[in-house]
Amino acid sequence: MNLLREELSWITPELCLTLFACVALLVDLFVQKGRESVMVGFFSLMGLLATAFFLYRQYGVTPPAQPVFGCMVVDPFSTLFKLFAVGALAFVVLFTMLSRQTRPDGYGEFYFILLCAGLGAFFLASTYNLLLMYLGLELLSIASYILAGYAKGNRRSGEAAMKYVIFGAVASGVMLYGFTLLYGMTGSIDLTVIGPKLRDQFALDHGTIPISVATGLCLAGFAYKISAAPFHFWTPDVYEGAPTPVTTFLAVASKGAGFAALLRFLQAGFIPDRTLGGPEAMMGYSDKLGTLVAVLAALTMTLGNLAALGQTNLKRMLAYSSIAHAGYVLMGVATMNREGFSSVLFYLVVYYFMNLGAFGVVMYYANTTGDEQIDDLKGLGWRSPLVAITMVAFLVALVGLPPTAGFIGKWFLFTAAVKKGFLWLAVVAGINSAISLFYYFRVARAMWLRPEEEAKYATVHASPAFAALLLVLAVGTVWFGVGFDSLLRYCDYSQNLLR
Amino acid sequence: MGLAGYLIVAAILFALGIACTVARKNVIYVLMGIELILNAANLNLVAFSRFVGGLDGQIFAIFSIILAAAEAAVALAIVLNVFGLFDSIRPDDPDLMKE
Amino acid sequence: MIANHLLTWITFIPLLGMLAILLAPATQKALIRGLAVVATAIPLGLSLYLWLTWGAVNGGSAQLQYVERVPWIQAGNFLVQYFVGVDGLSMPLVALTCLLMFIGVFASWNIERGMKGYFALLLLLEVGINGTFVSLDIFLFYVFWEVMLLPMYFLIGIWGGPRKEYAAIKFFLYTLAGSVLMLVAIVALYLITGTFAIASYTEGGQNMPGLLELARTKQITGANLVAGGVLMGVSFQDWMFWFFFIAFAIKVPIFPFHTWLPDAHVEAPTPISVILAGILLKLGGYGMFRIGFPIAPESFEKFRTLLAVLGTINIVYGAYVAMGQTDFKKLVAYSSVSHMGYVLLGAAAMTDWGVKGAVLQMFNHGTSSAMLFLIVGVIYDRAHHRELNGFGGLVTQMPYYGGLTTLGFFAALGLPGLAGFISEALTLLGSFKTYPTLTVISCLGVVMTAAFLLFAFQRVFQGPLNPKYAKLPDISGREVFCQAPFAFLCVLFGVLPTLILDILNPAVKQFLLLFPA
Repeated sequence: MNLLREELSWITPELCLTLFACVALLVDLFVQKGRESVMVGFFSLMGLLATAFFLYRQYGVTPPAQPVFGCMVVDPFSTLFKLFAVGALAFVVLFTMLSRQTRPDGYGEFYFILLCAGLGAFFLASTYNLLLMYLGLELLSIASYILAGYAKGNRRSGEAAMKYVIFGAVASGVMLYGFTLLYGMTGSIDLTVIGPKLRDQFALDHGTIPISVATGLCLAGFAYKISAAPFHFWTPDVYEGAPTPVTTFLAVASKGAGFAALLRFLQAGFIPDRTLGGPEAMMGYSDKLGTLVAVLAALTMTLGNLAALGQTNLKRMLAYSSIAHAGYVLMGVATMNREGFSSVLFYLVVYYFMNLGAFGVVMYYANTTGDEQIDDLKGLGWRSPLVAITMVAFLVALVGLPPTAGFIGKWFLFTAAVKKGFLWLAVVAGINSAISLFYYFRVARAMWLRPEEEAKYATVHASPAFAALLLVLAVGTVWFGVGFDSLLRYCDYSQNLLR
Repeated sequence: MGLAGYLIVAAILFALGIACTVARKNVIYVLMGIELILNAANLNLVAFSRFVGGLDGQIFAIFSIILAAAEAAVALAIVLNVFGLFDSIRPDDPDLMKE
Repeated sequence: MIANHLLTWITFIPLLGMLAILLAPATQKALIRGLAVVATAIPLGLSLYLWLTWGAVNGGSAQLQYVERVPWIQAGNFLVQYFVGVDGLSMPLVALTCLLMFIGVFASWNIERGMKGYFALLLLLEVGINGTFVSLDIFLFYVFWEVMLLPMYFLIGIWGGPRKEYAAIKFFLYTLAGSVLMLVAIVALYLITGTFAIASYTEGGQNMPGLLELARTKQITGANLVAGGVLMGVSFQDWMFWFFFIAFAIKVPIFPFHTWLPDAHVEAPTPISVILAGILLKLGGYGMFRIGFPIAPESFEKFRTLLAVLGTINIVYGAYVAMGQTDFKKLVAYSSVSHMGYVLLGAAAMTDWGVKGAVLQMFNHGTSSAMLFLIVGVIYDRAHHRELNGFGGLVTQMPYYGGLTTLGFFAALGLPGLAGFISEALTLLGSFKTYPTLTVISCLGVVMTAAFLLFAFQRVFQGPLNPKYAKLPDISGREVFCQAPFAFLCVLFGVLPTLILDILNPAVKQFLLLFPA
């Protein structure tokens, strides 16, 4: 009984989030009509705050990696990702409260589903168990399908949801099939057991084809979740069609969780512990896998960037940009070492700030004008300078220029890639960054370089709350570009303790 | 019949499922293809559980069946919504967002 | 307190000014202008102090002065320092920046639209430029280098001429493409050496070698990064050399990377053209001297003939194209291309005189080109066009303006007694020893420069007065005030070149020592 209580205490954040998800559902029943958005949103925020508090208490507690019920683990890595997810959810909730795009009724369910999706992200971040990983992924995915189609009666939203569910279900099915093969080869669904067993198989020289097939199928599922090539086709349509707060959630929290699971999966199963000296074949396989990921990374960033060049819709452009960014992050994954994974963590935090900000501006703009075209932003800088200035900060970070966090994030990815010997990849990524300047700055051009007289829309006021949100994100974006040492240590620490 | 038989059947199911989803004639076909893929996985799980070891696979299969049902429910609801909006259940028909 | 952190104050006072301007209400135009003047005047004063006390402080040594070094980012082995300092190479350029920015504020007096943003960006630009000149940590250098891009993009893009959007993004893309190469080289350097410091320093009594010392002692081979230090059949040093060279060459600009320059110059508002030609181009040259060449001394030795050829092409090609221009500003822009060629030629010669001439040429071109662009600005403000053939006989109408223009043109074409002559002569004399043929060809450029400048002067100022412009007012007091410092410097360093050569001498000697003979 005591043991149970102790293990339960390690999943307080999850329990707290579940509890508040249910509270959100219940509160909705008792709130006066028309005030659901504010009230339920408020309760959701409280829940996220409480969850963040419990997470914060867990961070850095000894023992560093605490197994829970034999299928989850609480360590700084998972805590970092959970905090990441909670932060992203908080912003999405705030955006939703301030947005006019989501339906006026049915907010209780919306927040409930959103928090459930967050729960899925929690599981993805902290499990070594294939079953729980699959469950977490499905929880996150199914909730996301519903959210994408939440604007009922909106044809784009409906289309987005359908495309998302078709792609998503196929990808997760393929991944499940890959999981079963891994299970068949090792007789376990626990990655901590699968890893050593695979190592043994390499030692016995069974050949790598079955393992390659299984890994490939699994990677397809992850690639879909992080929208990496060649499984990125759903991204632009879904991002464009879904309500903007949902798009923000998909681009930030969902993608982050996908990366968390991918890192765990690779780390536990496919990276030989060089200190223990795994079999040579295993090392060779891990490097080959890394090269494959590197090629995918180059493909992803290039496809994303080239497609983004031609976009006229702001949200769609950001969708392609998020594909390109997945490519950059994959650079760090391709190194298949701790340093690279640490740079992935760093970049994801940076990505969180700049993308939340950019999507926030899109939402603000779409709310006030009902328009999402880049060209129609013209003259906006002069009309609402604060929003436009923060947007420039986000754009600069997305391009990856100093003194913003985007540069520092890319710096570590580049360093990790070059150190691993992927100089070509660094050069490709560099060229891609230069290309990306062109489409990101189309937005800056429209906002600032066109005179005020050309502005299509009259003064559009950001509500003080919304302006404050954007300002917080912009300050974060710039701050982590000049004072990033604490974040760097945090990421390093989280990564070093990953088994 | 040994393990290999089950695996072959599962692989065929998987291939059929993929083919079904790639053909993209009708959303219902696609959903059926997805079911085939999931069931191929389930078959694998149960077979491995029997021949390789442990009850893990069977538990996994039960969860997977439940999830498949949940997923199908959501997917059908979404398709119904799309049918209401577009009067079509061909997956390629709604294309408001292509340039 | 100020003397201990002199460079920090020079660099960051404009940033404080920028914040103050951003907080000021947009309607208070006088206040904003006043803040901009103060925020540029203080660094100017400090840099004057720097210059005037230079001899007393370092007594002719080549040591870095006013060094400040504190850890900025420290996490494990990753150490980026706020490491700044100046020597004879960078100090005159810092002073020039402060002067140009101060003048730039006055030259921008007429800007009305969005002036709050304009001055804020101008001050941010100053932070970037001065920061780049004083940085002794390559990470810091890169950060400042990129900080310049954004304000420049908006300054050209918002306040520029008809094709401003094209010019702004072209400038941005070109420079960014170069910086990406530089970034890859910096990453590689860091992975090889584990340090970002350009100059060596002592930490706890222990000598920590900087990148330049490591390069001089041949410790940067890249063998620990790629097998044998050879990548795709090209040695690692060569890769790095070219990456840095292209990054800086785009900024200088060196043929064939120069095509952004005429566009940017023609579209930019006058004060921005002045700053662009006066200082931004120097950053490219400075980068080569500070990092680009000494980081890969053997590659430099291997390729310097090629660089000399490129320099010669710059001189002759720039002058040749300038001869064909009828747009006054474009003509001046191409003359910049030609003048910057001397910097590369002199550096490639690797003789004491050549290098000294090259460094001096950077400074002198800063003053003379600034003056030329201000001259163009004066006439453009009055006539609202820059077509050389559309003027004529203005010297009778605007005698003071004509006089100043004469001085500016003569300084640019290298008339003895003015500053341009000293640096061009030094460069050519220095390079004649190493590359006689190329030097002779370059002399052709001198003649052509004289030709197009005199020809332009003739078309604008001589001949019959164009009746359309019979009522043009002469140059105003503010405009004279803007040009006077540059005119003064052109004459001063033409008559007394030792005033600046004494500062450059030790630095140039030190620079030459970085290359194993």
